Amino acid sequence: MPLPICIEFGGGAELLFGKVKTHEVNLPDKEASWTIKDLLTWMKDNMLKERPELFIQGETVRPGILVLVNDADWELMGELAYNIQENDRIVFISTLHGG
Amino acid sequence: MCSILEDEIPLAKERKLNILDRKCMKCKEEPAILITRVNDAFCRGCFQVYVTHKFRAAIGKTKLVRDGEKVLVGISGGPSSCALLHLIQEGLSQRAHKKLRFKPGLIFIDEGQVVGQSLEEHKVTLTRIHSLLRQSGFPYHLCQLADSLDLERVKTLNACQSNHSAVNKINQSAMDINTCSNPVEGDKGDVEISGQDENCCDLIEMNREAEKLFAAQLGSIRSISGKEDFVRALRHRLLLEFARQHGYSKVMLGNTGSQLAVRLLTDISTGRGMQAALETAFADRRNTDMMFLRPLRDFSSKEIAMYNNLHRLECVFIPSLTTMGDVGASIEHLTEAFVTGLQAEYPSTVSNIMRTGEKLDSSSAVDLESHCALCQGPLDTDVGMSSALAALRFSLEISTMGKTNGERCIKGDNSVNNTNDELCSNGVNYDAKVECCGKSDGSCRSSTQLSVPDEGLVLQTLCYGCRIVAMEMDDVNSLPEFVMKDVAWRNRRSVMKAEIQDFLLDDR
Repeated sequence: MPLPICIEFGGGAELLFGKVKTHEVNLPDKEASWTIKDLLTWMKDNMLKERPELFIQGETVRPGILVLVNDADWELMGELAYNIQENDRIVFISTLHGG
Repeated sequence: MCSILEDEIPLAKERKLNILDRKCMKCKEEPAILITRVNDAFCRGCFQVYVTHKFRAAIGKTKLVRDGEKVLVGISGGPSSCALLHLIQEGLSQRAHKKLRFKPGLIFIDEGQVVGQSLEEHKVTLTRIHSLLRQSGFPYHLCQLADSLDLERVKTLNACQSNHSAVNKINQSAMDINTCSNPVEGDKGDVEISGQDENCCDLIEMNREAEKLFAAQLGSIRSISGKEDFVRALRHRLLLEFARQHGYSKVMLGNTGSQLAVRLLTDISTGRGMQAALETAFADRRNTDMMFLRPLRDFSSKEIAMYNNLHRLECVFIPSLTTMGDVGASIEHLTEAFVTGLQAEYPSTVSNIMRTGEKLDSSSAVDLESHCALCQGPLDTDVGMSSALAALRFSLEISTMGKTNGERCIKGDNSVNNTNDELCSNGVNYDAKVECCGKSDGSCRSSTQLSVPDEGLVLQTLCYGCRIVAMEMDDVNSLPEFVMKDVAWRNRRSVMKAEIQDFLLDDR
């Protein structure tokens, strides 16, 4: 079954994703469960319009990008290893370029 | 320890592994939602208390903001500004415990011209900023960065803004999360949205001439670092002038600790070490009549982002010169990448940098002549012959020797008595007193007064960092009007001083 989730961007990160802040996506079926790490790879292949190095560094997000899973810091959820549940709300906020 | 390779996964943290389902370290009951300050987990409620307390403490313990004082708050639309605005609203509201008591006024400086925003994007940005400012309930002003080149007009800007802020009624439905009473208006009653949204672009009186001038000046600076420095100096000057003209006694800015750590290292890298202490302190006293405060100084950008998310605050993203740029686009951009990368692995990086910065202290400049004409920072150019500054001067002379037959040169130090300068003593066209009556108020309008000041004279009034920027420009005389006025004023003073030198008592 495809996994419906909501991905949001803030702080300028939306510029890399077609300037759209909210994306409702259905992650395609997989035997193993989806982790954030898989999500990042999927986003890089399917959603990232340009300049991947501004969003992803190696296997994780670039330093300066805060990831929130259902309004909680992803560090409390296990970071890359967190298993994504149905209808999760994952937010990527760029904390660079403050103001 | 400090090297970061390009593809290194920044997961090698010094702290212990996180346990899932952590409880808040304060109340130990609620599930935690944020990790900050190395390894402290907070729940929603405790985080709110933590942020509010830190903000109030930053303002309160310095005792710099008095009751009823008018404070100008600089809102750029970014996350830190929105958080600052929200914190001020909460702090001023009736419900707050020991509420804050100053009178804020908001100002937004439109810098769309810097990055060359299209008209469409510009309109969208302005509309959103305008609604953001209006919903706050405080008096607000909008102006352009180009206005800093025409400071006389800043006085008149109030006339058209105050009408709008006088009809500033709170939109009740939009404030469902953050109901705050507006001490200015006092009523939460009937809702009226003044139908100004469509005409918001008219709220900024576009100063076309100044815009052109600004575009020319910005265009003549070649490097992005130089442009950023120039923009920052103009912004500071505009805030200063605006605050002075409209009766504000302090200016509040929303720089976070993370941004200030980057600022500190960038300042040192660009030869502005003298101002590094001022730029990162809580209270910036470079101008004796106006203090710039930074209450968000102790917050990290992560905390601010979390705060905004919790309160669903709408920020307006405005691109800057280095948005989507390469890592090495400017010195500040590179430093930001460095500090942020380091912070990811070693979470105490930013606080270490800030703590070290606190220990720096620059001697406060007392008289008006020891301020840089551009950035208002202290002049740091009264140094010896074997300094980097002297070397820079020397190489400039040598490289331009062929062009102007060695006539150009820059004076060594700032005072009339040029004891340090052995290279040459020439360079002042102003001195010819044949036609000038000697009064320094510009009334005689002799031709020497109107003559173009020598480049050396202009550069003398700038600090080291600003000199580097000015020398990038094709013509130093195309610096903003306020700089040239300052140069002329100082020169008249030094000429006058030289004239009456014999009559002055030496009280040293």
